[in-house]
Amino acid sequence: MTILIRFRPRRGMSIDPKQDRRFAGAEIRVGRAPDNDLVLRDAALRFHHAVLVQQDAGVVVRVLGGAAISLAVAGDSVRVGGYSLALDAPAADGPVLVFEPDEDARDDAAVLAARYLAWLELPRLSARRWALWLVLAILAFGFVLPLAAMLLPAGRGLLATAPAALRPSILWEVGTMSGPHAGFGTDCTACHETPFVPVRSGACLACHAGTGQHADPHRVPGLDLAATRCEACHHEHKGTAQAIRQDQGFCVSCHGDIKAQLPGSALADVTDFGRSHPDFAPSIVTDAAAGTVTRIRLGTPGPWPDRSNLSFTHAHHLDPAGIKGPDGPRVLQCADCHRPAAGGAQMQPVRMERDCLSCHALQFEPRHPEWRLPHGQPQEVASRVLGFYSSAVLAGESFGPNQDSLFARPGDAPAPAELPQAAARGEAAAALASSVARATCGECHATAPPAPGADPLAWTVLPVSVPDSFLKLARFDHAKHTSTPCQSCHAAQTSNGGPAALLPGIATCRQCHAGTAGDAQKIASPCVSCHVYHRPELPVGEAAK
Amino acid sequence: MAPQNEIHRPVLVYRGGRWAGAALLLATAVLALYLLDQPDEPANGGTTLGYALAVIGLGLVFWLAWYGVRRRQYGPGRKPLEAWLSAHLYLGLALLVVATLHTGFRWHWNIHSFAFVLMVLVVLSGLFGLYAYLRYPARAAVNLDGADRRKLAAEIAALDLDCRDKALSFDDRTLALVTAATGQGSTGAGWRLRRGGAVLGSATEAAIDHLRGLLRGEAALVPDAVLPLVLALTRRATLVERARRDFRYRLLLTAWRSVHLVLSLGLLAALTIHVIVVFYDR
Repeated sequence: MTILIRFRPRRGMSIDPKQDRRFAGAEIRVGRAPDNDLVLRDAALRFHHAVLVQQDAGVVVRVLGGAAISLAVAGDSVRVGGYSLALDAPAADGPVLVFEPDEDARDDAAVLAARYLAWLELPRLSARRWALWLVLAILAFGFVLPLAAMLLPAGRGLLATAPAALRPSILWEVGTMSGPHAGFGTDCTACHETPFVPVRSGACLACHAGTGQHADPHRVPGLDLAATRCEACHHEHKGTAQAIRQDQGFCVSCHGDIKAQLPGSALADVTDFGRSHPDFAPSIVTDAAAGTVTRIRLGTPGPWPDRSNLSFTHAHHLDPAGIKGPDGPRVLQCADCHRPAAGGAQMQPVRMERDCLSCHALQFEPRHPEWRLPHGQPQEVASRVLGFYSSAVLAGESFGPNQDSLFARPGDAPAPAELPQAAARGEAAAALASSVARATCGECHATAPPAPGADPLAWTVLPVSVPDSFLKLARFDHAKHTSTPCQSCHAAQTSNGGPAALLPGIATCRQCHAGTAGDAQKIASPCVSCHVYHRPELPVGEAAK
Repeated sequence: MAPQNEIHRPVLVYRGGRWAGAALLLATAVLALYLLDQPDEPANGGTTLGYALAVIGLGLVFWLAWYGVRRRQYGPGRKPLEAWLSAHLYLGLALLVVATLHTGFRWHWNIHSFAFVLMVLVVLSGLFGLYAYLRYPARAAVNLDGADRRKLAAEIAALDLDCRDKALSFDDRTLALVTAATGQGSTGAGWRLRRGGAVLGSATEAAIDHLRGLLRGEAALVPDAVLPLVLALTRRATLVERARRDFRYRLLLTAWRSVHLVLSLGLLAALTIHVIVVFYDR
């Protein structure tokens, strides 16, 4: 039994294709391994790939591990590895099998080298296209989108629903909004009404309606704030606390030599709180009835006019040994009379009924302490005094040196002045003159006797005027100073003067506060720490740009 | 035209490092101004010094960008490109200082800080370019060891065929491993070679490990070609690694410039928006 195997040529074959080979035997083993009958060094074949067995004029191809295919008639073919095996017309001594290799799919060195070389070429990086896309993306997201979202009515609705990171207020905001404005800061158009047009002061005054001038524009026309933009001084987007100018240089540029800048000014030149600031000048009442005050600089030699029409000494009330009270001696504290007003910056006015009355009960007759005078109603004082003495006279009670007239000898008709009602009036007038007006009321109040010839009961309590604030040009916040005892600033325990004498001088403040040029150990205090720029009594009005 | 002997002077010390000195002077000056400045508000781009730094920085940015145009212009009568490059390099570093001080160290999530970040990235990519130019040509030369890409490719291809041919004498598993290791079938996946993936990675290691196992006598029948096959595969792996490294050096030497260019143009766009928005209301 013989099989003739004929090869069709192919490039790179290691067996001469032109040589037909005859194989004799029961079966012919085909594969790459050297122990095969037909050794084919071809990567497409397995080590032991197939077995060929003759069957009559045909061949059975049994692929190892696979099926057996019978090639019986000339023209039958089967694919094995990289070969097509076809039965040819039989030869004299047996079947002829033609091995035809597939088209060569294997690489040759030049092709492989060219491929590797191509792989080693750098990729073409189209930098320009990438740059174009980047620029377009930046313009779209950074400019067009925010602008449209802000200006188009539809966009503004979108603005409210857009992710926060894409809102123009986020993308465009040049810096943190000041605290009070942050609440509406996401709406750029609240202030920036028209693109590329400066923020109008009117937009500010829509909320800040009461903003005042700094100086009377008739007197200082150059400082007419109605002709200035708010933004000239107030820079937004500079941080949470920066919309109010803190810089002292701005103030000092005028107030450093205000006498030269504004001839005739009553103001003193100031450059720095710590270094050149005059002592304080409290407003002292010069006419309580008219409510007029005069600023008197601390340190001015006395006596000062203090016509508040009240007399009071702190030294007496704060006697460390105590002061006589209804239940015996009592040591008073500041807070017994002075209570902080709402907000704590200032103190509530002292109220007689609340703060004084427990000691100063307004009794006027030692034998009848149950009788008291009303406070705050001077017109009723005289009638109550008269009422008391009238009832006393009728009850036969006598008080003063003129009591003899009440007990005239029997038979004598009483003189007109000794009629009971006349006696009562006399008692009342005497009491008013001797004790009520001078002691009960006059202990604290300035009083005036009746004019000559007038009703002897017509005493008057002179009107009282105590200013809400003694330092009207500055703001002082008691609430910020609660860590300090009252008496470290107010020398109340030794003060025998009026309220103005209790005001601490600048030296007291300078123990802790320096100007901005100042001492690193002290609190840097620019002008606006105490002074306001916009004076509420001089409103800018609607004329602002 | 510059004297011939100056054309190839190193960019870093061009004319005694005059541009390095100028940039250092500029950076020191603006830093001193920044430290001495006591604005009425926290330092930011809107103070007087902030505006001054903005003008300097903007001028620098446009001048630095102009280098991209200038480097494409040739001809006599111009300052040598080395002078431009030296100035570009050092003033670019100075820009980092000027722009940072302009921000007053205040950054937020907005277009302004985005422009700043782009500026930093542009400078960093430029710095990487400098590093690449200083390091990679020498490393690439050492790596190639006198060869070139064409030679490498040809040698790898020859080794591929050699290995596959040698592997025909081996059993099916060995042949499959060697075939996989020599990159057959990776046609069209160029990145594999670049990354050393299928061509250099585990497939080569697996094939060599397998052949070493054969050498240790784990199989009964071992063809004589096993040692030459291991040597050929190892040699091939060395060459592929060399080609891969060469590719990486060349890529980094050119790709940074694309990144630099793209980011620079992005910076110009973001900077334009920044200026427009800052002056949105004044």
